[in-house]
Amino acid sequence: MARPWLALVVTVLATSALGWLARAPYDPPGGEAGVLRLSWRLRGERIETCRPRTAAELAGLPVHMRTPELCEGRLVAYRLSFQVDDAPVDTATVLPGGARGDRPVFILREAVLAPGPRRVRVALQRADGEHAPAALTLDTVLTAAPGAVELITLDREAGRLVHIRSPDR
Amino acid sequence: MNAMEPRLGFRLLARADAWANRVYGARWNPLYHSGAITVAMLIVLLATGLYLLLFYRIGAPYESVVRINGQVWVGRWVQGLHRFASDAAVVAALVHAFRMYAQRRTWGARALAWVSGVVLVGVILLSGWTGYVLVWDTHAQLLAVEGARLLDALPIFSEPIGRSFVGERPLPNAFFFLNLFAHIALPIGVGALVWVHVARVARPVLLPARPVLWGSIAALTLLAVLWPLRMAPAADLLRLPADVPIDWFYGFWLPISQRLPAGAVWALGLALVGGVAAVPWLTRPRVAALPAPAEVNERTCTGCEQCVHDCPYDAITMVVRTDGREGQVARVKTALCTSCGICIGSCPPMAIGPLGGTAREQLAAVRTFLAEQRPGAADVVIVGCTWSAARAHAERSGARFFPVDCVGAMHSSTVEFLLRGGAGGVLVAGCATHDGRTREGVEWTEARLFGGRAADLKPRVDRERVRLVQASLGEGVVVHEAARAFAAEIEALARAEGEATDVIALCRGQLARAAAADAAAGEAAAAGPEGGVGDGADADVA
Repeated sequence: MARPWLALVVTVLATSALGWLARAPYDPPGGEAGVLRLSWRLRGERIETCRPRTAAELAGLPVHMRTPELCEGRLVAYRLSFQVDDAPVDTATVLPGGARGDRPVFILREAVLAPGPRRVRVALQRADGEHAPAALTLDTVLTAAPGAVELITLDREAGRLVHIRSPDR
Repeated sequence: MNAMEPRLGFRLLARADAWANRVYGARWNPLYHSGAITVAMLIVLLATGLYLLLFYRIGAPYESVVRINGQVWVGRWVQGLHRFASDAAVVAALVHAFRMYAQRRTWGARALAWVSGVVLVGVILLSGWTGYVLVWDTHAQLLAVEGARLLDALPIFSEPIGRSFVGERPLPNAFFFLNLFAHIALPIGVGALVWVHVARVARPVLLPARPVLWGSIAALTLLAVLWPLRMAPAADLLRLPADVPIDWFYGFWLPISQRLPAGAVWALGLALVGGVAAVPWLTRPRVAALPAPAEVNERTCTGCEQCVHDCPYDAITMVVRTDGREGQVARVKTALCTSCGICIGSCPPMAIGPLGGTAREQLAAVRTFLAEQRPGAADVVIVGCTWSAARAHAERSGARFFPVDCVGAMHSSTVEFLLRGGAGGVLVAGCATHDGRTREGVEWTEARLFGGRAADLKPRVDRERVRLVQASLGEGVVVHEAARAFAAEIEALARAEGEATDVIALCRGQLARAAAADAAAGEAAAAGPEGGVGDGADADVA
């Protein structure tokens, strides 16, 4: 060892730096406000168009596949809109999931909420029926707090949107 | 300095090496052992991880880690050592990568080691990620949520992964089981990658020198005991984490990632990884500047296999002769040859070496050097590589310096030629054992000069006139002291030789005078009886 005491000091300093960097605090962005989070999964409506098979079509099929009707269908797209204090925050068309569009609709949206009481309105309705009644709605007043997440999700049993917050608050 | 060195990187590394050599000495310089320290830390991780696995519960991840952290006598410091060793592994791997880059040991036959090293660091970081998520504290929450956001940007999942972390319900055990599985499986991949990483290196050094090994472990253990880790709050997906104690060696990307769109993060990450992985091709010299691989002169090769044993990269093999003679002949696998030149010194008949740098050309350079420098019997010639402490010492002191690419590439006949050419002594100055860019070079040189390893220094050479000193950058004082002491010895030898020469000359003169007196006496006796001179001449001779 060339300089034992200096080596010891350098080792202690290097090890301490490693120890500090292994636990140095980090303040992620966005902590000064709250977050409104919309998240749910919904098996959307399916639209099918059916027609009877022709005799030629039936004859061309194996016996076990000779169903009398030929149906082609698709899952509908939805339009999601939500407002905070009467100001629109987001409006988006939500397509069914999956590469073939045959999976359920997944909603996952977040928006910043300034602290304080906020009126939140959420509506999800079929994208192809502007005047159809909304499939899911929520109109509630919640109290946003810094760093708190206000979750709006689907209560599957009740079939309606609900507001969930951390039990610690 | 070699013209091929990347200037800034090489200078930085040289300064760091020199500084660390002054503090720790070249033998224990941790910078030289960075690659081996990484492997050692991975072994520490394995040992401590096995202990932690005994107490970890996927059904209650945070609570089980709190329990481990509460075991003051064992669990807490084992947990700390596990974490600090993972950090040290990352630091050591990055230092090792920088060393390879700065010394341009990345391209050609070494490209496989570089690329596998990049993958290795990636797998270590990924394994660390899964490990931190297992704790399920706020740090884990940050990593998991941000990781899910990035993964959801890829069009490969039908359902967003991020939905698992919205806080609607507690995370399922399957999530922690998968993480634990990945955290155990990835290190197995690390083991396989280490094997690939050193596949093109003969006799790879996988562990550092014992003082460095145990010193590193002791330092990290003391850190874990004296400055133990405190648990961060448990993850709560319905709260945004604030003031999170994160491990910056594994979470360094979070501040950037959280402020950029996922697509930009992927683009940045891919550009960075792609750029680093492409270093062997980006830094490869142009074809004209590429050092030539070693070649074998099959006419003079005796098939002794010494070069096969000495090659640090397993780049030489023996094949059956095709020239009608019996036996085998050495053959260089040019794709594996790094042109290090170690084989130059291993071949007694000088039958192998890179084109333009064979032992015969080395001896030609010695002749030129002797003709220009004309060293005397009291002079010491220093032989060293061009970037060593020896060169710096020679430039300062004005000592005669004969440069070689590496002392490991020096043929022992070079030493003999220098001595026969008039030099009083030859001081071979190589870098420290663990510092050798050409690996093992200085070890083989020592064995060739003093241990009888082929191509050995011939027995007729006076070993008192040959010295080997190991001194790396920053250890100029070691070379200085060795050169001073050796020069004094050579001067003493020269003086002794000079006195012996004087005595011989004196004796020769006296004998000549006596012979002349005898001749004169003979003539006097022949001329008449008045003598007397002959007695005096006899006394003089006596």
